Amino acid sequence: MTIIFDNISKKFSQDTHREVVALDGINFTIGDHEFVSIVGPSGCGKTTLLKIVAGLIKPDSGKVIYEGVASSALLVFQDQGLLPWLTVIDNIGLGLELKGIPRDIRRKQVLDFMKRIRLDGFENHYPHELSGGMRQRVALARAFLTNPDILLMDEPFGALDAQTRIILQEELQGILRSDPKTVLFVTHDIDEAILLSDQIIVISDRPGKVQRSIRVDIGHPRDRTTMDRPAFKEIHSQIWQLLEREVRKELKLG
Amino acid sequence: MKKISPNILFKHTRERLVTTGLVVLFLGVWELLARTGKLSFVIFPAPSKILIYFVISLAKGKFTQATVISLSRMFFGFLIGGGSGMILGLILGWSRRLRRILDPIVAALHPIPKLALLPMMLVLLGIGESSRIAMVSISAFFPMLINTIAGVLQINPTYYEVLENCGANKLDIFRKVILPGSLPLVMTGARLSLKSALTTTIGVEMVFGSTGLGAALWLAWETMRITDLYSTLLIVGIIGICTTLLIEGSRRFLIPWHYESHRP
Repeated sequence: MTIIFDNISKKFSQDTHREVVALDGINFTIGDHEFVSIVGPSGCGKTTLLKIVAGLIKPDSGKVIYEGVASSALLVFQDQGLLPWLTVIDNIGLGLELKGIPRDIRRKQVLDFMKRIRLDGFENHYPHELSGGMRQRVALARAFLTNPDILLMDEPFGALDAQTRIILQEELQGILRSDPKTVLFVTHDIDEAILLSDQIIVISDRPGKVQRSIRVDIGHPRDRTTMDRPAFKEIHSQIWQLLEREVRKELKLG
Repeated sequence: MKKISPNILFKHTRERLVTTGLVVLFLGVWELLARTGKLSFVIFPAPSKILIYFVISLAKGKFTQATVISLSRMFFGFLIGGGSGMILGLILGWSRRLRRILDPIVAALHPIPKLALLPMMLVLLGIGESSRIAMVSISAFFPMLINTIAGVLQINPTYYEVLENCGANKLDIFRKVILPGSLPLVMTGARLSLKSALTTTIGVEMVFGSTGLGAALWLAWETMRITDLYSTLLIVGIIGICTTLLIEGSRRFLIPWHYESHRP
């Protein structure tokens, strides 16, 4: 299954006079079971792009084409993705429940998955009783169990501290090894993008355009030591050169 | 799971001790002044006398009938008014269009003192139980309606997206987001609604003057039976406190996810 982003554009009107071009003719392609990251300055329409794929926003023009079967996309939010009134087990099982999977089968699947990622024992906790890292693991568990064709992640580790983030990045890689998926991942963390991705799309700010698509040809598994390799550093500086101008513009540093 | 403290009343023991001290001091001064004849025994009988009279009257069942009648009026009114307020509130919170249409009407009707509607109610429904219940229902309706609407509106919009993205239909969104998400403010609405129902019950009974605690209060005044007056007031006060405790207590079971995080 291939997913083609065909010339997608989206404008938002801030008030009657001003319009913000969030996305301007976005073109790129995601291959089967490919991990693609979108990197760009904040406010460049990355989230808008994910919500378009998720079907929550309609683009002004262009479309997302799925080559292959009819497709489902599930979005993992940065935070607030868990319903505070549902326990962990019900939050993870939410996608399955809405698909109409019977309660006892659902329960077994959820508990199995929780055991796999060592979340067992927390099934009756409410989200507010968990740390930020735990909450995102619950969100990941829901996403993988719901089993969509494409997984959309909107800075899922963005609100976490640096240490927790490293652990969760490794955990995500681990789950993907045993349960391969097509992933579209938004981040502003360049290291994170290189560590996880097969392909990185660098997007510019207002209008949001694809600046460049970069392939990451570094073998798996990758971990923190991968960051010391010349290939990693080379890609890092390539992306930073593309982004630096944008960031300076944003900060009015000229 | 975190332990929920067994009784919120026993928190802040030191401050609670001072509270109790203040009450005891107030009653003590009153008692002293009454016993030394500094206060008119006709208007301010000693608290101990009131209490003894109250206990004896309770034991003899003097207030039982009036209490049962008032309580059932309050609860009936709360069920009818509060219930319809909640249903309409959920609908108005859900549908932006209906809210835009009906919001001005709600805003116009809400500030009218509900007791002012009594004469009109008597014209419409006559002097009887139905106009009493109607009055109580109307006063219970608005606090519930307004809090339920606010409860739906304060739900984080991301939760709707989460559900939509999982392929939920409108009924799923109602069951999984709107209903549980608005519950904390619905409970606040229930508390205010019950309080309002009690106030109006007593008010209406005073005007009608035949049955219930309100009528008993009025009769006690008219016949200057001052200990009856205080005793009935005490019952009304206890009912008020009990309704609050009832709602606060049920919060813990109905919204455990909100209860713990809500306490300072």
